[in-house]
Amino acid sequence: MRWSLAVAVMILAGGSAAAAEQSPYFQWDVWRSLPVQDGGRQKPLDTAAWDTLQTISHRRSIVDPKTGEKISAVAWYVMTLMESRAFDAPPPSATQPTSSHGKSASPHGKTAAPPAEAGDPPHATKGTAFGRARDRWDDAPLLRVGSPELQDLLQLPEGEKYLSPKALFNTKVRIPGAKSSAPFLAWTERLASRQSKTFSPIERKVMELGDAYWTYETHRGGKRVFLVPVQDSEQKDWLSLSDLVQISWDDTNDSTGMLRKAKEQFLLARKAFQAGSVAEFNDASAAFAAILRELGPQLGDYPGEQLISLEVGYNHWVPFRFAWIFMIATTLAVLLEMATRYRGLYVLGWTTFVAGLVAMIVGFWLRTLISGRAPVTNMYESVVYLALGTTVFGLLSELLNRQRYLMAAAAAISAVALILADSAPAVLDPHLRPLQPVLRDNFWLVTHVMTITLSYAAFALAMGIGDITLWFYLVGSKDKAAVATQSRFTYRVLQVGVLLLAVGTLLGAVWADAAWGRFWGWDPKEVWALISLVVYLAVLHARYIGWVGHLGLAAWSVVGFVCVIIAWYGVNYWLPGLHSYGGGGAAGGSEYVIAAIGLQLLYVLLAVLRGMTPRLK
Amino acid sequence: MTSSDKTSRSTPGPVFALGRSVIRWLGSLQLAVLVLGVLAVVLALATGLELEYALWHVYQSPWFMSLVGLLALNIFMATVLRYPWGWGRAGFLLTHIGLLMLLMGAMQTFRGGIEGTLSIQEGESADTLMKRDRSRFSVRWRSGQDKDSGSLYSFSFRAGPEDWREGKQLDLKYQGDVGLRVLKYYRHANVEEGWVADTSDKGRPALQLGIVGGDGRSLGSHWLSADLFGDQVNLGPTKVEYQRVGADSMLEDILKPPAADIDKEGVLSVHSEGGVKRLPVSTSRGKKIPIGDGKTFVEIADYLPNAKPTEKLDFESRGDGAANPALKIFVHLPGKDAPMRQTAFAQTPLLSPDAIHGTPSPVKFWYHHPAIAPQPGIQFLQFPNGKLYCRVSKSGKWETPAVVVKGDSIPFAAGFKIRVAENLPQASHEVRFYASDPRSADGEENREESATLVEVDAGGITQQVWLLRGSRQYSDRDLTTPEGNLRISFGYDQMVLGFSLKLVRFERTRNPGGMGNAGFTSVVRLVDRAAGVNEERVISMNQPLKHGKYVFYQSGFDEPPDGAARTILSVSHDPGWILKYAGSSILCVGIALVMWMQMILSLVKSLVMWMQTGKWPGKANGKRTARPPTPETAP
Repeated sequence: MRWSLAVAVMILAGGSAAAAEQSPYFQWDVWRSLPVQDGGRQKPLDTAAWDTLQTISHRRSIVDPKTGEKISAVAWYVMTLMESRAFDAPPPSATQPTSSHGKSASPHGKTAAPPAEAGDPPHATKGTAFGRARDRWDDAPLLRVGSPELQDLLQLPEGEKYLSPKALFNTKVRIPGAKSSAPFLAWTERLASRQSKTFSPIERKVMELGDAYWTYETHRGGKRVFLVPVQDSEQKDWLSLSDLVQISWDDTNDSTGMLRKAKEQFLLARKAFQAGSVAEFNDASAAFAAILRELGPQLGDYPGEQLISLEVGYNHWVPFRFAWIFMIATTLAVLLEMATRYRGLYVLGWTTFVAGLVAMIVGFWLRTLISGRAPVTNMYESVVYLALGTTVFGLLSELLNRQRYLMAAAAAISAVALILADSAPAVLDPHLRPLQPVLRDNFWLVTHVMTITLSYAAFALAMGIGDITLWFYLVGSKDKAAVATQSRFTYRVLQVGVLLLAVGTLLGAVWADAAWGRFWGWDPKEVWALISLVVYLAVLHARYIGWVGHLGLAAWSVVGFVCVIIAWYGVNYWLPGLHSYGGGGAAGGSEYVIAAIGLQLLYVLLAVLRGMTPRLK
Repeated sequence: MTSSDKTSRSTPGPVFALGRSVIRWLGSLQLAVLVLGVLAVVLALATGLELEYALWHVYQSPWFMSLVGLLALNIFMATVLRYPWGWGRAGFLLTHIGLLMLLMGAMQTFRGGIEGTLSIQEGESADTLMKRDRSRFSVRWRSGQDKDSGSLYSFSFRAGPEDWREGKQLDLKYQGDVGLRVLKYYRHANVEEGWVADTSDKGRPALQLGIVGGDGRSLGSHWLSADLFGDQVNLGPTKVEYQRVGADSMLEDILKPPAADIDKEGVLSVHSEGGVKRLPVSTSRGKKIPIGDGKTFVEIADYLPNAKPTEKLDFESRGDGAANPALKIFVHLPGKDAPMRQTAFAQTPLLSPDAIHGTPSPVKFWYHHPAIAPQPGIQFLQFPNGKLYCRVSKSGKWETPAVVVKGDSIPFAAGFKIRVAENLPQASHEVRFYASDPRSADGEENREESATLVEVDAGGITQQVWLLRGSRQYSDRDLTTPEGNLRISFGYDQMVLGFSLKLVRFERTRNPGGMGNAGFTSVVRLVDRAAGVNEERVISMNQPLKHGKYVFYQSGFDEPPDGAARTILSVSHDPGWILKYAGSSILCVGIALVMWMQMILSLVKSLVMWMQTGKWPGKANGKRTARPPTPETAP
């Protein structure tokens, strides 16, 4: 572990040092690699900033409304803290840090008082829900309103997807089914405190927006960033920036005096930032970070320097993004080679294919190092893992039987999966989060999920090859040999998939037996894994007795994958059950998934109709 | 008959052939594909149901079991029919044997498995697990004359996730001398208590009052029913009384009560068939005064300014202050030697003396005393002629009474009103059990418990009784039979473990920053006298406790803000686990072999050839022969 950390840091070191900053004046790097605690995990501030901006705005960077300059998440994060009026005048003496749990950014926390119960806009003009004076960021269009229904409900102008926090705070809406209109935020509160956790799609969107608002508010109040552990805290509390600034520290609660120094440096940096004195700000920032880094390990569990720089590097390089670029290149190269018969393209395809595979392996390796667990615990990771699996299967088949389209299919599937993972962070949450207790320290979990997802990879590849076969039928190709070969591979890959799915499902049963005390519980996820298995088994057996030919096998390999999609994605979002923890947040994207499934089935239908027509003649 | 006998005897071929083709068909791939296809569709549809319903209607239903049974039969026949198997079929054989073992294990679990929960509060012990998917009636004779008071019968059954349709019944048969039959079952039920008009003369007056807020919204309602003592309810500081009045002529006592200054010992108004007579107490005391037809006499025997009950069920006066003025009265009836003893109280003039003495008196009294001022409140008076009067007292005085009818409202405080929602001069009490919706209007899950109507055959009679699980009043009911009393209780099925677990402490660890839960741990003391075990054990996430045939898993917890933590453990006993694990392993090996058997066999052949000839067999013509699986290669 130690050596691999060191190696990884060396690989990535160049990256973070060379990171180009959008703002030429202020140095954000010292902030970027500051260890903080956020959402139950220790991480660099870089990740916390990215996560926060993602939750609020669904963006990776943002345009400063004053200068029109594009600034990074970290720059935005630190700027909004420096400009926050929450640190103007510390309120009269608090001497104890308030515990950090429950101060959750979302309305699910108990402490965040709903402004709605106060119910009125009078303080809205001068302050916010937390009594912080307003500043320019409150008027900036930061909050993303994704759904068209919600845009209508909030009466946003046509095509406008963003709303400022102040505007949302003052918004009153007519809640569907209610008689009178109420503050929007009161609605989010009411939903959050609802006992049963079944929500309509619009309610989910409302809660998502509410979550974005509360994330913004707690962030601006310095209540979301936790800097050092609180000594001897049973609850493993950390000290928030807000507490650091507002508690009056003395020898009784700060024996070393370092907290006072840290507070002083922070206020200094803030003053310098507001005055625009760059050098002073950079000095104070560096001093602030240095004090915290020295103090942290003395107070409790504090992350090491290497792990933090590793994560900063991972954030910067995003290995999986390289991977999909390579995969697209592979697909194009191989397809061109098939068309032009120019051998160099095949070599190029191979090179990019292997490069993509290496990028994925590096990505997984880093995630494992950073999180300290196998990276197969949420939808994002399983989608990326599917890409890796498909690539490996494609690589092996291509090595054994130089059939171009095997590599093309694998690379295309892999690219689609990676692009999905990279571009839909709201559905496929790329952030590393703490695991639910039942998922921890479990050998069976890792083997179960890895096996199952690997089987999905095999089925994905089968679908890819099946799609190619269907294309042959759709265009009325006369190349019977190619179709037969493809069919043989589809069959082979399906066999591998069935083996892995059967083993994975049984491993899941073993895990369920260990975790919940029953081997099989008819949970929808279990049942859909079984349905997929039964469908593929039926297809394989039907192939034996000749009920399914080349065309049928290709069609069923696609239809079978629809079952896999339901088992894998649909159950998490469409059906309730134990496996809902696999889902990443309030989720969405259902309409895209359904559309994709619909298109695929339409393609199958057309190909099957076209393929059967000559026989009818 | 003869001809068919002849046919079967002379040509056994067709029957044999038919039997053979049926068996062939049972072991065929065609059947396998059909059953698998049907299974996939059924399962897909079932996941659209909530688990409770899917289990009841699909997964654990006889027809689904038959479908799986058919699949098992198909697998079995396919395996048998392909004998002799040979090495080439090793994978096929193992796969199918593994599958059969898995299904047998599942069957064993379904038939003999136990699943339940155990909920223990910190510092307490538990030795009984609860099976929430099964309901149970427990029946016990209660100190009957010639019955064992201890014998306990328990009837358990699965009621399913929904209300039973009309007419569905379940006979739970007899245990000992008690027979039970479930006549109705509501999955979620509620109980409504109320009064309904009763034409028989066994009823009593009942009044339903609604409380209406200042904005006209109903704030609830309350039933009052007047027995001999009347009934009352306090609405905040306001006392609302409901009394029945002994005679219609008493209307005069409330409309025109005697003036306070007539007699300092008060005035007794006497009501009989002949009319009303008002007797000033101090001047009438000790005299036999004729009333009505002149054959009946009333005698005020004693004046008690402050009446207190004595040990001999009589009253005596203590002190002179007129705190509770009362009169002892003799009523001399024609043809009777001994007078009828009556008592009248000024504070509660409508308290019928009949209630104390049992025999109804033809003469009724209303005792007015100047020292008694009414408490603030509202009084509803039910007259024998069916009229309901309402009077309100304010600052120690009654305001003018008025007749009220159903629907009238009486203001009582700060904009609130009392509305007469129902007025029944003759009514009987009714308890009604009704099914409630599985979901409330805002989509919340209904947490109301189940109710059932059960027919009990015990002690020589059959009677029906409603039971509501978890209800303080209706989960246990007492039944009277000629042979003694019977208590019947409705709850969840339980099972005694044979040992006990005491929760020493429950621990919850957190993520850094105290955000979210990192793990749950229950430290328990396991006490099993029979096995001589008494030790502390730990149960945490993914680390169950095994003892005897049971396994305990950490499943939930409850940490009330004030009070001890409670851990919820799920308990299971799985008799089929060996078959399931063994079957799974064999199945996995089998599938792998199916895929790679050919490869392994050819490797072995090559190896043998290499050992014999020293030459590794090369590819026949430099090109691999692709062998897509076709009917010819099918097993």
